[in-house]
Amino acid sequence: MPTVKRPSYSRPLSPRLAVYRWQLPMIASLAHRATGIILALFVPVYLFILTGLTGSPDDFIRQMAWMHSVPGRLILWLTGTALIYHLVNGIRFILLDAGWFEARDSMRLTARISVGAGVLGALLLGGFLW
Amino acid sequence: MLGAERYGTAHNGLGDWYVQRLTAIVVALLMPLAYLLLLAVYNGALDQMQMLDLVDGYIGRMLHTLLLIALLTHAYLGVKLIVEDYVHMAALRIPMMGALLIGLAGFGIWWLSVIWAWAA
Repeated sequence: MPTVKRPSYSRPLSPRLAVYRWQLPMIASLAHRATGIILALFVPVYLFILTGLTGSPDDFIRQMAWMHSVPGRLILWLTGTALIYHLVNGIRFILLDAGWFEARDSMRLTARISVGAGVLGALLLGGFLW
Repeated sequence: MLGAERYGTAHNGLGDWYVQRLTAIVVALLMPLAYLLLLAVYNGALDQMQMLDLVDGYIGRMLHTLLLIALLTHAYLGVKLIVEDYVHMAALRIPMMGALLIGLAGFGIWWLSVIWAWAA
């Protein structure tokens, strides 16, 4: 393996959160990653819910009771909010990849739409679940 | 991306990038259906039999299978990106990626077995 000469200063290898000023498009990007992690963690919970709901009638009743319990509602609310945000911002990212809304102002505006959709989704879902 | 002449020295980044977006579209189309179905059951709008009628048909099982493959692939690529960005120590990063891949594959197999084991 050839030896690589390292520069004397350490160059950033990845997004360096500590050096950038916080801005809405950056928050939107970080929130996309955070909600993505939450949704990945929801996979086992989804399987738990799916096996319960499609099992015997007793399993169904037990699963419904769990979903309506406080931890159940909180998990459904958190993951549902994450899903709404990740979906809206994911569409935004695909539009950005296609070359739309790349100007700084429209980046900020669309980031505002994503975050707004997440907040609105959280409120509507909260109203539905409680 | 537009106007890029080369894909970088790793030569395999574009594949991940492309598959991440392709699976995103599949998940974006199918996941809302699954979530709305879950909310309808939660709400009592659908009872267990009505819900099973919707999910255990051949089309329901096929769509569910498509969703889980796209979803787990999307989750793998997404978490991989985050781990590669922030976990710089290879001795930690490589086992993490292995555990993630095996874990998601395990959930996928379990999930498939649940879907295809429903009595028609």
